[in-house]
Amino acid sequence: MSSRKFVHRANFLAMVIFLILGYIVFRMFVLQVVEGNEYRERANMVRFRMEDLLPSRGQILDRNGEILARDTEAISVYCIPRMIENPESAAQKIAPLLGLSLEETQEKLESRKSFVWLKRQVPLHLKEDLEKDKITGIEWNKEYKRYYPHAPHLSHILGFVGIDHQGLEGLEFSLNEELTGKMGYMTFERDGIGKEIPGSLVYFNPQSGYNITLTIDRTIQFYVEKALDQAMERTKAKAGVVVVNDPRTGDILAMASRPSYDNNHFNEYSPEAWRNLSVSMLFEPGSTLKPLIMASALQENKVYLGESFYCGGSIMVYNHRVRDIKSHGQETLEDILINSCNVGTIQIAQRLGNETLYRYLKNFGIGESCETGLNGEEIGLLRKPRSWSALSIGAIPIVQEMLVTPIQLLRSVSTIANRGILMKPRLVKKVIDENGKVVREVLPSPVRRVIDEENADLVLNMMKKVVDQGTGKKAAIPGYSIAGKTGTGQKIGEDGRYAINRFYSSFIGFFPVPEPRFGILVVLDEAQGEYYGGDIAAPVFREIVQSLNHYAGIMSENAEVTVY
Amino acid sequence: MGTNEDFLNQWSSVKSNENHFKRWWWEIDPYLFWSTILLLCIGLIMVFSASMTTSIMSYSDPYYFFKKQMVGVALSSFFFFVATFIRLDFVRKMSSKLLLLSVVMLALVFFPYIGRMVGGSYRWIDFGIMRFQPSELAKLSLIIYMADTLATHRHRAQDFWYGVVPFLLVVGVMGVLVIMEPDLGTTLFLAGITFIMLFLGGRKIIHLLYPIFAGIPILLFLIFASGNQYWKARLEAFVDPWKEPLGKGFQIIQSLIAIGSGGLFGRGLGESRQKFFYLPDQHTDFIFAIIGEELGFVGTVGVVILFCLLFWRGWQIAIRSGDDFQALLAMGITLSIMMQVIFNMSAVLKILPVSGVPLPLVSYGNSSMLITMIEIGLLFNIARQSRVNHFE
Repeated sequence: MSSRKFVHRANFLAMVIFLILGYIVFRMFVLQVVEGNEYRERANMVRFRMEDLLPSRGQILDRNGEILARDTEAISVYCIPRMIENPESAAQKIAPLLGLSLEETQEKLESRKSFVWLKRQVPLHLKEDLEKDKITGIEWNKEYKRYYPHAPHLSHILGFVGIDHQGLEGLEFSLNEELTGKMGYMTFERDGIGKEIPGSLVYFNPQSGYNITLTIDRTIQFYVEKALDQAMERTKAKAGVVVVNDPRTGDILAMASRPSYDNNHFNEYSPEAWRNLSVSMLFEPGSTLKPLIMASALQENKVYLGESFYCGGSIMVYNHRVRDIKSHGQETLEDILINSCNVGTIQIAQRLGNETLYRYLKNFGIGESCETGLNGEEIGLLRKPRSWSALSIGAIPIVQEMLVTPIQLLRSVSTIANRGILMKPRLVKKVIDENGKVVREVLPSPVRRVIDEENADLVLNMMKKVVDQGTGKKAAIPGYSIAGKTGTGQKIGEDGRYAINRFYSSFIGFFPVPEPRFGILVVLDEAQGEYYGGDIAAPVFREIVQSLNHYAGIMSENAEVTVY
Repeated sequence: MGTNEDFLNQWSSVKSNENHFKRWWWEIDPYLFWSTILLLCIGLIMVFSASMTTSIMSYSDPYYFFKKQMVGVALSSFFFFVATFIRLDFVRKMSSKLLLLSVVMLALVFFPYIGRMVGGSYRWIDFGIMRFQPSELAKLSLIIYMADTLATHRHRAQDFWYGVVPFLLVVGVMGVLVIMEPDLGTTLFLAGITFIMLFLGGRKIIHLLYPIFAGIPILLFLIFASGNQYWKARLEAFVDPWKEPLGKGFQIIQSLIAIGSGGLFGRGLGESRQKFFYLPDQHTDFIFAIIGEELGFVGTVGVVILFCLLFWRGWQIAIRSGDDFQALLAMGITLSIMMQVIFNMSAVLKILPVSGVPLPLVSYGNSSMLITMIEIGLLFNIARQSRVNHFE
C-alpha cells in the first residue's frame, strides 16, 4: 500500500482541484446564465448586419391619377473601416466620386467603428463607378430617394421624408404609416472579416407602401400657385394663402401658401418656410364671415327679406362707438352684405343674441378642427359667450375677436354654397395597395345641417350680388355667375391692440352659382399699399376662376346679359 | 492478464483471441472509460463544428481539420491500447531513457529541416504526415521519471539537496528548452507538475516553498524584461481586455462573448457565430468557448462533470494502488490532465491569463491527443494492476 502521507496529500490535491472546478462552474454560471443575454446582445451588435430592405414608399397621386410623389432608386455608400487596407488611397479614389472632402472621407475610413455611412442616397449611376474600381471595405446598398415631380408646387401639402425615408412633414408625415409599407429585411450575419455567414441569410420581401389618391387637382394647383406668386409679387404681402375646394363634397382641390419651399430640397430652407399656412395661419376673418351671421338670422326668423335697416355710419354698443366706413343710410337686408355694412350686421347680431350667435358660429365649424391630417393644423378660436366682452356683440359680427384658419373659414362659408350642410374637408380620397385593391376609401362626409336649403340659397344669392354690384366687383367675370364676399381684418400688433395699417385682406367666392362646383379663398397678410380684400384679394380670385373656367369647361352662361 | 509476457505478444493476443478482449473489457474501469469516450466524441463533434470555418477558408474543405483529428484519434487509440497492456515495470525501466529522448526532441525543434516553425515559435517536429509537439511528450516523460525516482529514493524525502534540487535541475533543463521555443505556458506547466510530484512524493512543504519563491523573480523577469512582448501582452489583456478591444484584448473578449452568448442552453449545435473568424484558435485552445456558445451552460457543465468523473477515477486508482510508483504515476497523470483542463478553462473564462494549454481529449491537436490517450491507457493499466476495478 502507498504511504498514508501520499494518500493524505493526494486527497488534499483532489479537494483543491474540485474547489477550482467548482469556481469554474460558478464563473460559467455567471457568464452564461446571469450575464448571458448581455453577451448575446453584444455579439449580435457586432455581427448582425441586416440590410434593411426598404419597401418602396407608396406614391401620392392627384385626383386624376397624376403622380405627385414617388420613389426613385438610389444607393447609399458605407464602409467597414476594419477591412480597408489603405485608407489614404481609398479616400483619394472615393472622395471625388461621392463629392466629399478628402479629410472627412479619410477620417471616416480610419474610424474605429465597424460601420460608417460615407454618403447616403447618391444617384444610381455611381454604382458602376464604384464597381469598376472596387475597394475592399467600401460597400453600398440600394435605397430609395423621394422625388416630387411638381416641386416646388404642392410642397406644403405633400411635405417631405427624412434620410431614413420616414415622413417628416405634410401628408408624408401624417400618412406615413400607410405610405411606408412593411420593411423587408435581409439579415445575414457577418463573420469577423465581413463576409456573410453561410445559411444565415434570411430574406423577407418588403411590402410596398400604399398608393394614396388625393382630392388635389394638379392643374388647379398649378393655376393657384401661379396666381398666388403673381399676387405676392404685386402686393408685397408678407404671407399669402389660397385654398380651393369643392363645396359640395368638401374636397380640397388646391392649397397653396407663401412663404413656401421646395420639398425636393427641403433642407435648404428654414423650418419656418415648411409651415403650411393654409391650416396653421390664425387670423381674424373680417367680413368674410358676415354671410354666416346673415344665414343664422334668417334661419332663426329674426330678419326677413325686404326688411330695411338704417346705417348712420356708427352704432353705440355698451357706450362704445363702432364705426363703419361710411353712412350707408337706409338699406335692405341684402344691402348689408353687399355693402359689407358693420352697423347693419351688428343690428342683426343683436337680434340673435350672444348665445344663439355663438351656437350658430360653432355649428358652422368655427373653432372646430377640420381634421385634414396635415401637421401644424390649428383649430382656431371661438370664445364662449360668457367670456365675451361687452363689446363682443359688436365685435363678433364684424368678426373680430375670433381666430380662424384659412381652411376652416373656407369650410364654414362653403356651407352656404352647399345648401346648408357643413362638410368635412377631404384631402385623401383613396388608399390603394400595390395590386390596385382599395384599402381605404374616404367618402365625402357631411358633418351637420346648419341652415335650411332656402336660407342658404338666399344668402348665396346675396353673395352673388356682392360680386355683381358690391365690394367684390373686382372678382366678377362677365357672363359667369359668381358669389363672394370680401374681408379686411385688422391685425393685432405685438402690444395686443389693433395695429394701424396691418391687415388681412381676404376674398371668399363660389361659382358657378346657383350650384357652385368651386369654392376659393384668398388671404393676403400685410399687403403693402392697398389692403381692402375687394381690391387685392378679389383679383387673385378672378384670375384663378378664369383659368378654371377654361380647365373645367364652364361656359359663359349668357353672352347677351354680360353687362351689369 | 499475464504480466510476464512481452507486451507485443499481449497485443497480438488481443487481436487473435477474443477471450482476451472480453477480459480486457470486463476489467476496464467503466466510469473512466465512458467519460473518456464521451469527451472524445464531444471533442470530435466540436472540432468539426468549430474548425469548419477555417477549413473552408484555408483549405476549401469543411472536413479538413475534422479528418486530421479523426486520424489523430485513430492513431491515439492504438497507442492507448498499447498503454493499457504495456508492462508497467518496463515503463519504469525506460523512464530515464524516455526523459532523455524528450529532452533531445525538445532540442531538435531548433534544428532546420527537423523543427518546424509555426507562428513564430519552434514547437514542432515534422514527421511528414504529422507534426509532433515534443513538449507534450516532455510532460508525460517528466511524470514517469519523477514517479520512478521518487518511488525509488523514498529515503531522500526529507533532504532538500538530494531530494528536491536534482529534480529542479532536470525540469530546469527542460524549462530552458521550452522557454526558448518560446512557450512560457508549458514551462510553467512543467514546473507545476514537478512541484506536485514532489509534494506527492512526501517532500517537506518548506523545501518546496524555497524554489517557488526563487522562481517568482525569474517569472517576472521573463514576462516584463525579457523582451518578449507576447507574454506581457497576454498579461495586459487579462488585466484589462477592454483597453484594446481590437488589439491585445480581442481574443479574450471574443471568448467571453462566445461563451456568454451561449446562455443556458446554447445556440444549438453548429450554430456558433464566434467561430466565424471572431474568435481566434476557436478549434484548438478556445474550443471550450465554442462549446459554451453552441451547447450553453448545460454543455459546459456537462464537460466539467465528465472531467470530474475522469479525475475522480484517476484519483481513486492512485490512492488504491498498492505500488508507490504506480500510485505516483496515476496521480501525476490525473493531476496533469486536470491542470490542463483548469488552465484551459480558466483562460477561456478569463480567470487566468491565456497560457496556450489545450483542453485534453477535446481540443484539436494530435500531440496532445496522443499523449493524453497514452496517459489514460496507463491509468487503465494501473487500475487493473491494483485490482481497483469498479466491479470488483
